[in-house]
Amino acid sequence: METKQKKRRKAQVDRDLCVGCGCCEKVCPLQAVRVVYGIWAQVDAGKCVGCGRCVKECPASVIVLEEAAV
Amino acid sequence: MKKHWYDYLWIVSLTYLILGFVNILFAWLGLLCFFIPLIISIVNGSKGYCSRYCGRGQLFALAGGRFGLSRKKDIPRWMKSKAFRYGFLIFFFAMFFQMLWNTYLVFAGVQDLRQVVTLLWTFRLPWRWAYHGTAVPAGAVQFAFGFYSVMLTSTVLGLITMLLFKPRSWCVYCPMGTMTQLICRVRNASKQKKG
Repeated sequence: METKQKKRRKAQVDRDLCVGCGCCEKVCPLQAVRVVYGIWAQVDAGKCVGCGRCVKECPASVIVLEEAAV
Repeated sequence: MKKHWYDYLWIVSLTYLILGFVNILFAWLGLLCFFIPLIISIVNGSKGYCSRYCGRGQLFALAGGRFGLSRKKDIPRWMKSKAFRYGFLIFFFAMFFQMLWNTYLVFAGVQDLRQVVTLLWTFRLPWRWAYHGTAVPAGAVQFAFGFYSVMLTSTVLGLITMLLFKPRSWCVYCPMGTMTQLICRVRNASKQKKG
């Protein structure tokens, strides 16, 4: 039987342009994003519900919501 | 979300700016904003200062966010490019060392104390009201004027980009942020490749 794969929108960070300021970390209601190694922000796709708060907050606008298979 | 004590550090930043109008010697306290993020990045290898303890960032977030002073538009692409960020860091450093050189000249007695705050590295604002004559050496006073110039200039630049773009757009090109990110890059070079 074929299972239908659900697709949800999740936050995705452009690592190359991320400045690692952590503004996203601060607004995420689920602590699904954090700055790793002091370099870039990383989203935990398992936790992210795609609310888009980090997208709105990011001063460099390097976070987007993109469809990802869950 | 639960508020922590460090969520109120914007009050400290604001007080610092005001104190510079009262007595310029308070400008020395601004060195904390230089050394704390550096120490955190060197010791911890993180940029924890930016999101938690940066009072200036909080001030911009508050003014642009809650007070609605920001247009909340995307920052231009060139402003977040590495070339601009590193270029601005180098320029900032150059200006900083020039300020240190002027301080040295006053210390050495070659130059007289100049009671001015230089805004945007160009405009010399008379700032006599904030110096009342103390036993502190003239060089130390000159450093206070120079350092306050750096702090005021970056605040003004940050305010302008706060109005034009997103509230914390200063964070994108903040020289301290760029520098601590660079330190973290070097420090965590091996982990980065794995991650």
